[in-house]
Amino acid sequence: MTPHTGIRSYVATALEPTLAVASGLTLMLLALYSGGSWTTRVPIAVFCTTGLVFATLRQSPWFWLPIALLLSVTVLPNLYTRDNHKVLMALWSLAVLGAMAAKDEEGLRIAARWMIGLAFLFATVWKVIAPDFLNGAFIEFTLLTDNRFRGFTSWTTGFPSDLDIANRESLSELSDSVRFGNDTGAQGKVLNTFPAIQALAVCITWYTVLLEGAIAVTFLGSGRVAIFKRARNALCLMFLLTTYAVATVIGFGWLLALMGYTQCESHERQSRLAFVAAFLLLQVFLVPWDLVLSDIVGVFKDGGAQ
Amino acid sequence: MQMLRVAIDDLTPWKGGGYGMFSTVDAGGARRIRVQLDCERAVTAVAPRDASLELVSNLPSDRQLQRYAESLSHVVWVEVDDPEAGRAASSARPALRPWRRGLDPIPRRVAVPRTVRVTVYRPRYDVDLAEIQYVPLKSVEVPGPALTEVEARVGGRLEMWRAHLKR
Repeated sequence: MTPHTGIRSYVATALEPTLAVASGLTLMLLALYSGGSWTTRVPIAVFCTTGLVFATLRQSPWFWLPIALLLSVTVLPNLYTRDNHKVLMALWSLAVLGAMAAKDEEGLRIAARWMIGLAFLFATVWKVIAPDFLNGAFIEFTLLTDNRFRGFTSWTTGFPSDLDIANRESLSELSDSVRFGNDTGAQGKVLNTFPAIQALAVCITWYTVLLEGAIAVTFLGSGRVAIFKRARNALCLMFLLTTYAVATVIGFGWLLALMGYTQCESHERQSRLAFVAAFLLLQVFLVPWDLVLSDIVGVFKDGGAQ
Repeated sequence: MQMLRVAIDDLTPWKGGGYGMFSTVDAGGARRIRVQLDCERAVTAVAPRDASLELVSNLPSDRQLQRYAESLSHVVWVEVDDPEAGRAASSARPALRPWRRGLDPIPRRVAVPRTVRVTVYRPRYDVDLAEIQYVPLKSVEVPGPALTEVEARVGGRLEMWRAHLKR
């Protein structure tokens, strides 16, 4: 046995049993990303810390009952203002509660697979029926105006910063005129764009809708079709590593990685490892790479000047 | 269920647990709310940024919008110098914002509108023209408060805008 396979085998064995690891990762997720007001955050932080310290405690359904109830009563009355992944978190905590109560690892595996499949099915349906997704309008508008995509747009297309600033000013003026001025928006504002941005928007649009559709189909159909079963994990990992590198909604990414890990069959050790690696890697996406790289370049330039 | 609410009540596809996020420019946060007060002339007001603004932006159902407009009709509106209202004022139209009891000084001049109109706008992006527009989605108008109600809220007699003294 080489050291390489030895480490892999050790890590894969250490990731057993699924229920124990999944419950630990769930507590990490809730501690960092459940959000809400202090009435939720404080008790969740207390429960998560306690559960992470006392491993046997988090195997008890009585431990998960207040967590699941708290998340559910926080999400339900605020369904129209909370993000979708907060709803999924509440549902996931109920699934963990059910699995702990029934001591049913297989049940949690199936629940995770269905939750991923259905979430991606709904996401795909929305992208198909929305009037401004398949024609590339949403992605182009996002590339041009969303702060989270600013660095990505500039890096991939060379979109000049002066045009970017002009777009943001146009949007801000239009917004002000709708809220306060005479012009109530009917005139509109033309944004500066680039052929490269339009081409990129079309590519991302079709990549997203096809990948999300494929994830929905493979997760929901994995019980019946062998090729779906084999492909599903790779597709989900591809989504995690490409989507969240740009759209850094890490709470959702972590939940997806966690559910991806949980739904793996016991023999799918490599996939399980890959989901844990994705869980860690998503945090790396939060590093402001453009600032870090420009600092490094600056240090080298200064060194060269001296 | 979420799709029904989108179709019937103009819920943004981004919310409601239906996984429609990142599918349309019509996100709740991208919608705009215009508050118009009918004083001696129509003036716009800065809607307070709170949970009810977020809710009505995401879900401007008839009931929510009516409830929101009614809540604004009980607000004491004052002229202020804040950056947001200042931008509006620079377009030669006075902008008003709610007076906050205990935080703001006692106002000398308040606006007591005859009516309060709230309009929700949704963004629309034309990919062929690269043009962004805001189109009206829904609007509601409710009666403004009585003078006595505003005086009771502020706690004293006030110099009102002329039109309201005629009421």
